[in-house]
Amino acid sequence: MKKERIVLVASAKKGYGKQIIERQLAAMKKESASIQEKFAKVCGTR
Amino acid sequence: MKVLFLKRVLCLLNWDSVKTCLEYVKDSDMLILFIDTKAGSMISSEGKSVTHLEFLTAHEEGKKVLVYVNRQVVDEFFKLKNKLDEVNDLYFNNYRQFVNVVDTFETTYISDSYVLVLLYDLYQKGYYLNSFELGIDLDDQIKQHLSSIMKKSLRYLSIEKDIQRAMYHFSIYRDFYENSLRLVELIRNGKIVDARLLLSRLQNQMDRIVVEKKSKYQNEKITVLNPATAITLYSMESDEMVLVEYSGDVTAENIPLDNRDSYVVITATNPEYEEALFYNYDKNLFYFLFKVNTYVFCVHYPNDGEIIKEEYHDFVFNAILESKGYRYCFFLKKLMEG
Repeated sequence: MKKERIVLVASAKKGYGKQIIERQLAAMKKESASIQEKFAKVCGTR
Repeated sequence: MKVLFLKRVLCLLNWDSVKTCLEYVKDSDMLILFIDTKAGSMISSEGKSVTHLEFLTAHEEGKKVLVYVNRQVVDEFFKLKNKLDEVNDLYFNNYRQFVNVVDTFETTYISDSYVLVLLYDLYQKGYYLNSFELGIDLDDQIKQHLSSIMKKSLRYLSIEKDIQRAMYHFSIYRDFYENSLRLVELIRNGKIVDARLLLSRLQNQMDRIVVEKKSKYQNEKITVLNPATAITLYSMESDEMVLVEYSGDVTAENIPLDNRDSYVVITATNPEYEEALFYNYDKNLFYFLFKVNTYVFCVHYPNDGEIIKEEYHDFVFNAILESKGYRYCFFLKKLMEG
């Protein structure tokens, strides 16, 4: 049977995945805070 | 915009005609309510007047409601306000009793005591009671109100995209809450309770991934990975990777640890690899692997496009790590690691 050509593309050490998740979470929090601030301005609660 | 002005006399009233009235309210964008000395026809089965039911419908539907009350009526209402508060305190959970007691109030101008009940409800729900004088044109006052509503609407329109974004965030949180609970119930003390179900639920979250090359000024689409077609789960034993379970379209079996060509073995045995990505050129298929304790999960992502050039491989890896599916993989890792 012909052997399939499979290569390692990339790898990550422990902690890299966590960094990405935390970066995404921080971006979402920032965006969420900005949206809330805009809502507050429009609703006149700030 | 549909605006419903309530000022009419219903001579023949049956439930169907009331329902029609309420449908009109639901179909309107705004309700403008004029209240004089009478509260409108009563619906005995509901214990409320039609006008009151229409107002309640608008309120529950979140419609904009503008209220105009004859000045003498509103003055009399505020004179009796404290008395109404006392009766309400006594009968706050008995509406009909409240109405009966209010009916005994002596009024000089208001001819129908139910007007007090209606106004009290409007007041309690936070509606401002604008007053009007009979014989004086209300046009300017209404125009002013509509103008201020228009200004507010324009402010909301300016944040329309933010509202959509907030809804998107909301859907992410809701889905994550629901789906993470579905994973939690399958892990007990760091052990998998039902591996097949776990893999199947995990696979459902491994959606399509758009791989982009992000530069300072633009995003260039490189390729798209189709939703995962399979996930396999191995456990490292003394001399082999034991196939614990699989989900989806795949044939898999145990792999001896001395098989150094196996991407599962390579990932399992290299302490530097927490996550790894392999590319099968012949099948145009990516294998994304991640480790938890002695387990190795392998997700199969078919590439929907031409063979990926080597220079773009890192973009694929990062796109997977930034995908929704990986959030569940990460959550699962944390769950199993304890």
